Amino acid sequence: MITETPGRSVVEFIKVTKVYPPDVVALQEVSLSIMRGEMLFLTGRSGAGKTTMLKLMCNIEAPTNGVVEVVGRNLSRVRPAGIQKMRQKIGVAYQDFRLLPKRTTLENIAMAMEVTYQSRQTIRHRVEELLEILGIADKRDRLAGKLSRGEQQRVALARAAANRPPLLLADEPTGNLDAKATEQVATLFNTLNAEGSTIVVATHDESLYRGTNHRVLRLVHGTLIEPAAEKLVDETAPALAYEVMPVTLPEPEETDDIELAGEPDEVFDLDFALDDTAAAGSEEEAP
Amino acid sequence: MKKVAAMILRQAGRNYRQTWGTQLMTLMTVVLSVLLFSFFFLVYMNMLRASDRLGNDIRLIVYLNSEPVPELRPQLERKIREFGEVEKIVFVSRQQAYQRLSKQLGNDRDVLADLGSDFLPPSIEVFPQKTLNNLTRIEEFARYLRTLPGAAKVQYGNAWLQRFSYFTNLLQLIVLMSGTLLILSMTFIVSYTIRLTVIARQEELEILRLLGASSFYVRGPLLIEGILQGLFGSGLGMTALYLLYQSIVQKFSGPGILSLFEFHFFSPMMVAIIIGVSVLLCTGGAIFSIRKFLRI
Ligand SMILES: Nc1ncnc2c1ncn2[C@@H]1O[C@H](COP(=O)(O)OP(=O)(O)O)[C@@H](O)[C@H]1O
Ligand SMILES: [Mg+2]
Repeated sequence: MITETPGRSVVEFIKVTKVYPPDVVALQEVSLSIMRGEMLFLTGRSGAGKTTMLKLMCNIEAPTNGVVEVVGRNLSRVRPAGIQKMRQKIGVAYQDFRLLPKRTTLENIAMAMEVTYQSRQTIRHRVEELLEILGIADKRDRLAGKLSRGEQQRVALARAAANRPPLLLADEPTGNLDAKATEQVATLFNTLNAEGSTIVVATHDESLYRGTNHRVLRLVHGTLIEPAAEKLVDETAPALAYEVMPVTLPEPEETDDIELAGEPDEVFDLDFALDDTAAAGSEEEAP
Repeated sequence: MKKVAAMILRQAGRNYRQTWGTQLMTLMTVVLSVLLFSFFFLVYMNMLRASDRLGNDIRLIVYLNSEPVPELRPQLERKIREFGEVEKIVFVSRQQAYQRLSKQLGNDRDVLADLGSDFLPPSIEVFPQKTLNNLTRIEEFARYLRTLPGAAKVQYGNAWLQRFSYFTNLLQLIVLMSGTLLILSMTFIVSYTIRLTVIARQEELEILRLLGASSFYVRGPLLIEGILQGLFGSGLGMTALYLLYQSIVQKFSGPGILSLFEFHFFSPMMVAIIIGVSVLLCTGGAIFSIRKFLRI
C-alpha cells in the first residue's frame, strides 16, 4: 500500500521521526500513504503518537526527520502563505477542541467559514445542518464554555467539517460521547467521505472502527503497525453501519467539493492549490 | 471583494465590541490631541497673516531738525536706499505734517488754531519692503537712519512690534511642541490600543491561524481600527475646533482688537492635510503594533 503511486495520495509520511525536546520520541521512522477518498483509523494507546501524526499532517508540528507531504508538497518547504491556504482545506477537530468559550456554538463553527469568506446565509445554513446531524441543534446559541464536554467535542467536529474539507483530521472525536452521539459522528464521517473527503481519525474508541472495512492502523510507541492479518473485527460486538450512506445533505452552493467525489484527480489538486514557490523555514511552533 | 470587505468590517466591529472602553479612550485622546494642536496652529497661522499685513503698514519716520533744502533730498534718498530693502521714501514738510494732522482731527481742528502751522517737525517717511519683516533688521535700519545728517529722532512701532514678534515666536514654539505631542500621543495611544486588542484576542487569533485565516484577514481589521481612529478622531477634533472658532468669532465680531486680525479658519486644503496626517499617524501606530505583537 505504501508503494502506491504518489500522485494519488493525499498524505505521505516518508520515514518520519518526531522527537519532542529533550528526548521524547513520539514517532519513529513512520512511513504511510493515505489515499484520496480514504477513511483511515489511527489507533493505539494513549501516548502512542496519534496526535503527533495528525499535528504533522497539518503542520502544527514539524518532523525531526523524514518528510511529510500533503498532496505531493513537502510541508517543510511550503511558505507560510501556502500553509495558511492549505489549512483552509484541512478540517481539524482537535483533541482539546480549541473552541472560544465566550462565543456561541454558531459563532465558533462560523469562524471556519468566515476565514474563507462565505456568505452569512451559507454559513448559517451549513451550521444548522451540521448541528442537526450531530444532535446538538438546540445548542446553537449557547456559549461554548457552557456546553458539556461531549457537546463541545461535537462543536469542534462541526467546525472541522464546516467547509467540507478535502481532508478531515479528527483527534479522539468520540472521547466524551455516548453510543448515540458516537453513531451521529460516524454518520457525519460517512457522509463527508461519500462526498469525497479523505478522513483520518485518531481514536482508541474501538466502537468507531469495529467492523469497518476501512483501513485501521495501529501505533505502538511511535511505530506504525499495519495489521493486515490482524483480525480487528469482533463478530460478537454490535457494529456500526459503515456502508456508504445516502447523502442527506442538500446541494452546497460551491460545487468544487461535490465534484471531488466524481472526478477526483485534477479537482483535488486544484482544490489544494498551494503556493508552489518552495521556501524553507515555514515551520510554526506548536500551540 | 464585497464579501471580503464585509468580513473585515465585521471583524473590526467584533474587536470594537470587545475593547470599546479602551477604544473610546483612544478616540478621545486623538480628538484632544488634534484639537490642541490645531488650535495653536490656527492662532499661529492667523498671527502670521496679521504680521504679514502689519508688515505692509510698517514705516520708519525720521524726524529732522530742519527742513531739508531741495538739493539735499536726492542725497538723503540715496543714503537711505543704500541700506537696501526700501520700497518708498516720502518727504513730509512742516506744512504737510500740519495739514495731515488737521485732517485727522476733523472737527476738532480748532485746537490747532493757536499753534500756528509750523510747530510740527519735518520728517522723512521710509517704507521698507515687505521682506524687511524681521524685528532685528528693522532695529538695525532705525539705527542706520539715525546717522543721517539732520536726523533728530527715528520712530517706529517699537514696543508694539517687539511684543508682537515675541508672541509669534512663542506661538511657533507652542505649535511645534503641540505638534510633537500630537505625533507622540497618536502613535503611542493607537499602537497601545491595538496591542490591547491583540492581547484580548490572543486565543481567537491563534484559532484563526489554525483555521487558515490569511494574514490579511487577521491584520485587516486591526489596520482598519487604526485608520478609523485617525479619521474619526481628527474629524471630531476639527469639528470641535470649528465650533470653538465660530463662537469666538461671534463673541468678538465688530470693532475691537480681533477685527484687526480678521481671524480666519483653516482652508479646506489645510483641514484635509491635518486629517490626512492624523490618519497616517494612527495607521503607523497600528502597523507598529501589528508588526510587533502579532505573530501570524
Ligand atoms: N509538546 C510535547 N512536548 C513533549 N512531549 C510531547 C509533546 N506532545 C506529545 N508528547 C509526547 O509524545 C508522545 C506521543 O504523544 P501523542 O502524539 O499526544 O500521543 P497520543 O495522541 O497517541 O496519545 C507522548 O509520550 C507524549 O507525552
Ligand atoms: Mg492524542
